[in-house]
Amino acid sequence: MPIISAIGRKHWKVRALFTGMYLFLVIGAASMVYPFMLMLAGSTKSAVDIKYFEAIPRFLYDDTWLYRKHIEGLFNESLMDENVAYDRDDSTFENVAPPATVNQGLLNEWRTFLLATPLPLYAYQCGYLNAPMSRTIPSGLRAFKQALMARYGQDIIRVNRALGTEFETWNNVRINANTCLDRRNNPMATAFVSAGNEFKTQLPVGWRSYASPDGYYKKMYIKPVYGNAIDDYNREHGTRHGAYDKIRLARTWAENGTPKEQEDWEQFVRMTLSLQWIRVDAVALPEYRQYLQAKHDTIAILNKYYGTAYRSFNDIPLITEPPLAGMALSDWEAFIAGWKDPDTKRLYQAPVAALRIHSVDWLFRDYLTRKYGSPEDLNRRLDTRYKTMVEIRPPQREFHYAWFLENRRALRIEFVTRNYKTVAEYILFHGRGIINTVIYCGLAVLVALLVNPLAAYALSRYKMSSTYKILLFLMATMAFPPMVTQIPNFLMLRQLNLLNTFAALILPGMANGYSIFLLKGFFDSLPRELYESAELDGASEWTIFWQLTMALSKPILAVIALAAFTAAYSNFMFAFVVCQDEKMWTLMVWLYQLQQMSGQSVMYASLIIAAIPTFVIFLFCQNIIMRGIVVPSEK
Amino acid sequence: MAEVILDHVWKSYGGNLWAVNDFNLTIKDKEFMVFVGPSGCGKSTTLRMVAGLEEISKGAISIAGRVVNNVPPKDRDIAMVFQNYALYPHMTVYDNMAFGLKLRKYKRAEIESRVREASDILGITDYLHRKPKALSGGQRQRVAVGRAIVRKPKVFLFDEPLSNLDAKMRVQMRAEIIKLHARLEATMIYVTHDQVEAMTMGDRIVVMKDGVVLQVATPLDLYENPANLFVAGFIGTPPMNLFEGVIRRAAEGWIFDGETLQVALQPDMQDKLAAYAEKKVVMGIRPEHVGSPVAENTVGAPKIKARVDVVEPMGAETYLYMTAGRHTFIAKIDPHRRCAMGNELHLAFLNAKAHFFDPATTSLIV
Repeated sequence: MPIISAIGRKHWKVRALFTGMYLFLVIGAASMVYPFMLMLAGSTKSAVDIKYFEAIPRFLYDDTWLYRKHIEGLFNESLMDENVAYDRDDSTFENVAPPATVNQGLLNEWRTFLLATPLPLYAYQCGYLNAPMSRTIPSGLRAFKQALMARYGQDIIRVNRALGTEFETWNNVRINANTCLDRRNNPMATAFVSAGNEFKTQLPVGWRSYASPDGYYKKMYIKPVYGNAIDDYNREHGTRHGAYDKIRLARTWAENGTPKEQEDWEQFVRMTLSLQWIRVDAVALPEYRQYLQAKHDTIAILNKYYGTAYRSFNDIPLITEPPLAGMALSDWEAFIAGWKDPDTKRLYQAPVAALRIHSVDWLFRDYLTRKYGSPEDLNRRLDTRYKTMVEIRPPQREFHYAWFLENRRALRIEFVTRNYKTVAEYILFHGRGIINTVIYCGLAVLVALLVNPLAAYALSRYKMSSTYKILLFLMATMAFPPMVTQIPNFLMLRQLNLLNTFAALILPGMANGYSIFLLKGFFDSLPRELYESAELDGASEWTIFWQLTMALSKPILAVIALAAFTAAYSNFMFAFVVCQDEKMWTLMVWLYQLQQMSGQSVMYASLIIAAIPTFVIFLFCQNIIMRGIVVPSEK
Repeated sequence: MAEVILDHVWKSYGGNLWAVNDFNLTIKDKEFMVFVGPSGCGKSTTLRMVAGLEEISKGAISIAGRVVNNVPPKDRDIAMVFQNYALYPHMTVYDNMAFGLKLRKYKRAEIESRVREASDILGITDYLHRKPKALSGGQRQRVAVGRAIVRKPKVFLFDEPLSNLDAKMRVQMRAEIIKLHARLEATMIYVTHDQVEAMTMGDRIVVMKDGVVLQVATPLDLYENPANLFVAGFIGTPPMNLFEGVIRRAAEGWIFDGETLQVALQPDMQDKLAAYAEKKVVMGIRPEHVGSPVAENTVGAPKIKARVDVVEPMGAETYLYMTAGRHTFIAKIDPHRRCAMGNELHLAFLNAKAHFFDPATTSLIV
């Protein structure tokens, strides 16, 4: 019988009351949904947009923000790499804006150039290989792992053996995305780097960013020394550049406009720029041979170090392609930087006039010069406004943007799902954690559904004078927070030699005061006649317990099962304390580990994934709970 | 043969308070025995002792010649029907009825035929696959009875089975249980607080009060010859009129003197009542013996004068609630006799049907 009759409900006051109640409920529900939306949105963030708390992540509807996230991923979250490649001064990825105009002709030339020109693998870096700020696994790295797995199998040991690495698990596999521009970042020749380089070629071409000594010179060499204002630079150098944008790294020392610029150039080329982008002309050959002789004394010593078989120093050719490792590399580096003989105090070094920049920037300019001859021709054909060929810069930014425009949908999907993929892969790598959790939760529910009802049944059915005291004692266990009982429990389990077993996880939580209290109250409410009737029918105590009491208590048992499952599933601290062996770790412990080494977005994603089993179990139990408690009625 | 004998049965829940006080009764085979009395009189407790749901503090109960004091309920060969039906809510009607048989390891076919038979008797065959929740009160009680029937026990115990039913359904079920008894020819013990049920159903009735058996008799006997004041007041609707007064020898002979109401005594009662001369007694007379056509037509019946307070026409007769000074009583009169509230009436008093009780012991004098 409803409290308010059908006719009473039509009164405006009652209607207002109902409206108010429903409104209140809707607001309440919304206030639950909103934090969840924040959580969902948070799980799709990367470093660039993580500080914005919003229900719908902005990159889903705003292309600019999607572009920012893409650029961030493209340069492996390194702002320096972005500024160097694009020759810009962005202070954060938030300021990154897509190019205003795109010269399609120049872009096509760049594409043709890349196809036509053989470039070494270290000439470009690939995007989405590393996410040091967001601390997740970008799609490139994920694909790399899959490639490794496809080749070497699931066992990380085989990868280590084959590539000479020391990865503990698949989770530790990382590629260090370093653009080869600084002399310290010489390309390495290890098996793992080779595998990485080989893999890079399979990633989308639109993810490549080519090393630009030009941008590097300005961003990392000139600006830190002379400041960001071009006037300061002009004053120091006696030049009249309109902006830093106009400055280019000259190909040779002589091409620099003023002595000061020549000085900067020589310093940069000798000391800072990676050897890979420097070539030395043949005029330096005599000096080079003398240098090697001064350094190594005899050709035999040199041959020993170099693993060569020169008969004399005069047989040694000039290096054209800089070596990647060994004594040859350090000798070559010292020759470019300058080497002072400790005995004679004589300085040996490559003559400055022989030094020449051999970068992708210049290769592209050369390519265009070959094709178009003069800037006028180029301007006419490609609708550009270059006064000299030197002004041309590879349109990397436009190139990336073009790829972005074609792949916006895929990017959105990737950003929405990548943290979930990270978590899912992590969990799958630790399959043992899932099995442990399933066993633990299953046993915990089973035990909770056996021990608690038995105890409550005994208390409800056989009313002793001390029933109340026993119940009080059981309830008293609830007064101690788990943190308090944790250490005594641990010590007890250690005494019993049960650490690192399922028993350790389950035994301490087997009986639950609250569940017993709840069940006893419910059992008490079942009519006594039902039991008496069963007794007359000839039911044994077990039959009465199982077929009658338990069968009638399904909803309350569902509540207890749900509570037991949730407690077991979310148990992190205790599970970690009593099972420190990695083989016994549960999902929660693994997820905690993941959260320690991951960014906030991954953490959000892991929490959402972790909530799925609870949600499913809740749906299942809720069905039983909602079906209602069928207490035998009087009428 | 399922004779139930209660031999000096006592029941106490601790202390000196006896819930059942020296209960002695032999229930014959195939007898329909009714325990009746007000709440808390011990009738249910006695029944539960027979069922084995309560321990017997003192004395012995035997069923079919076997003392069952220490026999568990399931082995007593009895079946019980509870006031709230006590059906298993999660089982269908069929399973409810079959439950006891399954536990006793009857064969499937046997269970099936017994359940069919019982449900045919009770007219619940159509509901066999419903859950109790989907049944009305009357249907549920039928199922509860059916659950008792399928077991074919020697003794049926009913603990106020009709109390939860509405008035109409109660009358209907009452008749059905009577028919059932005739059909099953089993011993039945029936507990009720409703004296109408007791009167209509029982072969014999046990009237109890405060744990003590006051009278065991057939319904008519109980009605006509109540052994004490309580039985006299408890049995009958409307109840027996009771008047307090003294026995006195007046000029015309022995009379009952209730100050505002005086009645001459029948000669055959005088001997016994002479001993109570000038002493207080309680006179009881059924409403149908005051002012009724029978009384009015009896020659020599004394007349009493009283005022009408309330008139309740019932159709077949009319109840008058009367006042005569400090006494009030009910009279059952011819419905065609004219009277109205406030009228003074002279009513014939069939003194031959009067009973006299000793107020001190409450027991019947004559």
